[in-house]
Amino acid sequence: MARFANGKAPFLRISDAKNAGTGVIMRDFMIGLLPVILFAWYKNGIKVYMDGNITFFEMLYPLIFILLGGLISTLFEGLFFYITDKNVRTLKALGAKLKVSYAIIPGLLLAMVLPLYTPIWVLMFGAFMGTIVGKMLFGGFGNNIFNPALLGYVAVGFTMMGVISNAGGLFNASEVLIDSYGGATPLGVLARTKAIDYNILVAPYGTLWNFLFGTIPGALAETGSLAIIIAYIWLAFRKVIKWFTPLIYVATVFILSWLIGISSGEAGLWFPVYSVLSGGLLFGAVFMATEPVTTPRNPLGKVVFALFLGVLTVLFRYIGNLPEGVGTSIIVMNLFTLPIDRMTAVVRANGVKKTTLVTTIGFSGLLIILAIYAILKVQTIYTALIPFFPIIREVF
Amino acid sequence: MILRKAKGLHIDGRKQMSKESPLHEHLNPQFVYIPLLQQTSALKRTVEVGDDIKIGQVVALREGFGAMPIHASISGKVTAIKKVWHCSGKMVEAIEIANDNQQRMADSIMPEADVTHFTREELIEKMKQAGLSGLGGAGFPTYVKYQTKSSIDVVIINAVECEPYLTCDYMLLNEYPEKLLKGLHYFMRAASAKRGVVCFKSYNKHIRESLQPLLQKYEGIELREIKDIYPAGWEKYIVQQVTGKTYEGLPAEAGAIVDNSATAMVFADVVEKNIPLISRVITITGEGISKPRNYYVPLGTPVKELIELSGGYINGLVHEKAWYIAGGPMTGRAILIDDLIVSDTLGAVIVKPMPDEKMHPECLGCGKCADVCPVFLTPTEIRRAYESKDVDAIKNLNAQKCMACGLCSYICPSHIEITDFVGKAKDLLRKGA
Amino acid sequence: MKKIFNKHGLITLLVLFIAIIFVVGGFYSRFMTNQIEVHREENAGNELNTLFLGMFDQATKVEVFTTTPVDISYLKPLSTTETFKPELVGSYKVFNGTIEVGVIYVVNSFGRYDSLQVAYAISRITDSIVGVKVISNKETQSYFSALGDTFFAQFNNKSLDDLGFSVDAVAGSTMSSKGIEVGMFYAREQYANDFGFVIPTIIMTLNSLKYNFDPLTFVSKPYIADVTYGDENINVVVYLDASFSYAGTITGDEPEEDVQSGIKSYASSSGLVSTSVKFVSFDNVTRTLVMTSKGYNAVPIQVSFILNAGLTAVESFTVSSMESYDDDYNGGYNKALGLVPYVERNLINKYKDGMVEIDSIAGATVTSHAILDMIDVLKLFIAEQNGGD
Repeated sequence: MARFANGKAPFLRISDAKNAGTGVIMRDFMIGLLPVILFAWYKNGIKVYMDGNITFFEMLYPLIFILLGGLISTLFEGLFFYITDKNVRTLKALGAKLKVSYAIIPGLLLAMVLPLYTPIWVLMFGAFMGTIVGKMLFGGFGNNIFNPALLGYVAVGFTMMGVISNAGGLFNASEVLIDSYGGATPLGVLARTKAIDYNILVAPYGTLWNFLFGTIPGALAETGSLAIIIAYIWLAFRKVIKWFTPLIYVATVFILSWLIGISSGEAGLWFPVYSVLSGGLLFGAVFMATEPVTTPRNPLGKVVFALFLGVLTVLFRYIGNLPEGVGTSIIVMNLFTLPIDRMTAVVRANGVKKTTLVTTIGFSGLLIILAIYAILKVQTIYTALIPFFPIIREVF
Repeated sequence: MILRKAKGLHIDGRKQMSKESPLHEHLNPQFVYIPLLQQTSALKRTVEVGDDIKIGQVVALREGFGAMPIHASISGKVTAIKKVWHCSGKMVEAIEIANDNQQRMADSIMPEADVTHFTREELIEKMKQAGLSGLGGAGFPTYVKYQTKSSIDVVIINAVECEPYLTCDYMLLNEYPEKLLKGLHYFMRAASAKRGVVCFKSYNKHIRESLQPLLQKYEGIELREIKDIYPAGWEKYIVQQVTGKTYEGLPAEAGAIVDNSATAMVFADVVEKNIPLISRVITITGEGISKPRNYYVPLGTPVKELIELSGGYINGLVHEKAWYIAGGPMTGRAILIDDLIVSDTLGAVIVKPMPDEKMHPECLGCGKCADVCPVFLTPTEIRRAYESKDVDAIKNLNAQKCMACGLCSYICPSHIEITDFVGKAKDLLRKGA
Repeated sequence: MKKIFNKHGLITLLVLFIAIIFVVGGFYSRFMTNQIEVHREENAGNELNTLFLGMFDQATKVEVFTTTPVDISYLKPLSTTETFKPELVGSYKVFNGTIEVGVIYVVNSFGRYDSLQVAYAISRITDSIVGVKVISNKETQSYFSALGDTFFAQFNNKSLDDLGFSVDAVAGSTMSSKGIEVGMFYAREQYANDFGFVIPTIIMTLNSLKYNFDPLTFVSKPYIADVTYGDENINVVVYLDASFSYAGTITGDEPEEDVQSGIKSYASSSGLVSTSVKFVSFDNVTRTLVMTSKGYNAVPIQVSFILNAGLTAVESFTVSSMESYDDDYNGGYNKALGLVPYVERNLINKYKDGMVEIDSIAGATVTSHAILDMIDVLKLFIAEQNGGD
């Protein structure tokens, strides 16, 4: 009479296989980051070095900076584990713990969205805010509400932007020499002038191809649209991320920007393309809006989440004085992940019926109102409408 | 569409290992144990210790809903009433019959001279008297399904066998293809249905080859390939594939009755020879078995004997590090001890070394479980609701729809017992409601 | 010691790592920041070199030379008193092989907000300007970029002898245009000083520069200049168009082309008239005078004045403005205080009520100035209608 082990059905698990499970997802995620990191290094380091503008050690800085981001957040998390958990005070236990906590990712992502000349101590501050405050204090991997990398980014953005610009800011050593940039990123120009004009927004940076290839000024890794698109294809193919989340997000921004362009009398397709390719939209859409822990779990929830992200991003970009709306909108939507998850799970399980109709209408109504508000609030609409409705001038 | 699409998932079948050896017969075990349990209802014993038993003799009765007799599977003498391990994971009382190896048949077992004159009611009565129950795994009394008041358009034979490892239905069908068609033919008559469909998995081309030439003899029967996904053998999925209709409760709502292929074959014997349900095919397989194969055995045979016939466990199998699974690997149960007896719902015994222990991270929220769920549940949310004991939320999340197919746990990259959580949530709902 | 390390080794290591990264990383970042300035200087030299060589057709070498800057002040545009002194930032000789082909002066001139650094390339062979390049500016990018190729093409191969040479300003970046022009005059003086070039002179006096109040012609020829020039003291009264170009003679003979150019130069830098206020139309019957001025971001503000029967005062007026009343500025130009456009109405009403010294309204300075300028011209118009008083 042999005695056997007990267990729970099913007895086949994908995660039991050698090359499967969360570890593989994270490995694939890192591979997806690779082209983007390499591009950031190429654009801010190698290329500038080859142009003869910087020395060898300066060339290494972007790569070291990004890798340090990962290392720092790992160290912080290790320290946290060591202090809070008596069981992980040996190297082996700590290593195993860090391995399933994916400590490296927040730091990597954070470093990638910071400007090139961010001092390393500022990066450490951001990594601390992201890993310790944003992740570990919430209960560690899987329990955090906010995307740790973005929380670190927002913390740095609100407190340290002056320090960063004093240290050199966003432009790499080649870009500062280009007069036509006038010291501003494309979105910065839009935020300042609020004018939808190809000559002001795109022409100083070349053509839209430059936006695609990433040879425009911007944070370390966010400009490499092509590299990000490659990463997106890889991640979607490996099923690390849901292919539709970034797509819906970007498409929403595209369509809304197009409508805004049209309402301001600029019907060209260049404007929505510009809106999509400039700033951190693609980076955020591919790497942040799909971060599994802090975004809704079920497919319908992801769709709703992405739609709201798109509308909020446009709203923040055109209404607020901040040039960038991606980080803020993702952080804001992180807050709503739980309710969205719950509501969409109910809608999904029951189908569209009387009981779920309220939720459905509520969601879509809110979306439409926000979108219309965004379009209306764009300032140029006022002048754009005057020819059609002369009465406006009299009224205001 | 993203919202509602039953996707299912392709799972590596691992069926080859038990297919290589032909169907073995093991008709004369030393003892058989007839468990006094059918589905969840305890049976009423009608024999005493010391009674002489013939094959086919009624030894117990199921009463109440689904009342029907249970028959002896060998001839001999009742030697004891003891507790044995049943595939439901519990120990149940069973009638121990010592085999006299004479295979004496009960008087009721005799070939019918003419099978064409049976009416619908007579066929249903035959089902009932033969103690025919679903051999797919649920053990639902078959005649209950045929007593339906709705009109039935189609009888569907489920030969899909979507659980990995299992080959018992396939092997039986392979051996007696015509019997299946006969059984289906009688089922159609018992349901007054004009149409019969045999569903099988698309890679089993062999089934089509052997059945196709026989089809002309049986009017209204067609073959249907089903995609190689799990859970393609799920009743709702099959009915939806065949009729295009969906239903909430029973397939009869969609004008269909679904029966397992093995059940149909037994029914052919029931009608033509009056042999009640006394035997079945069981797959003994898994990486822990030396020679995985299928056995045609009387109900009540101890599985241990079959494992010995299969060469026993492989060398070096550490029992504490192995699973002994009653039923399919997705929905079956782990049994602690290999004293198990074959019953009508036990299609397979799988012995499988446990995979290496890994440190698994927490739920990372990838949402794969929600993606694969064939009934569009969001298991993570149900788990969350369960952990906060929120009965209303569990109800809203439709947890009761879960059929425990196990796909969510299967796909989970963090090795979370998510199916189990949903099961617990269902229990909570039942208790709370 | 060893015991302590065995017990607390891991945490020591972790903290040590963090500390090392903090310190070494800090130095690395500081190094990066310091390098920026270094590169900027390096590149400034390099870039200028290539830039300067590119300004000449055939040039191989650029060399710095030292010279004494000349000391000249110029009137700022639209001003009769405020002066500006350009500053020589750099002077370079350009060689083709060993032949000295030209000279480049880098001059600090004024712009809209801050100074402009402009390089003027002068050919030693032809004594003419061969190129003008702005090296650095702090102007609003969108307006500054309006100075396109056509603007700079004006300078190409302009002889320094061309006395009256005057630059066509580009709308929207008038100050920058003027700054570049003033710098050019300064460079010419410096060139004359350095290389003994004689700037030909025509004695010219701008006797007066007035608005043209004739409704028939004031749209195309808004200004009338009275000029005396030459050794013979020739006197002409001429019409000038909106950019002060010669547009016809009133009395006297048509002057030579270089004289016309000279008139333009004197007139445009005199500051005697406003360039932003324009007449649009005047209807004798309805006594409606339409004028425009330029508000914030050069957005046109148009006002129709209806004069009283005696043409001595304003009876009523309507304003139409394309200006956006941004809430950021003075509460949307003080929507709360009255009908928008509040600023325009308020100022004109003050004038209507006979107030003499009208102050601009804080928070809407540009718009205020535009309106006050307009009122000044309107006063002149009314005075003209009543006998030029």
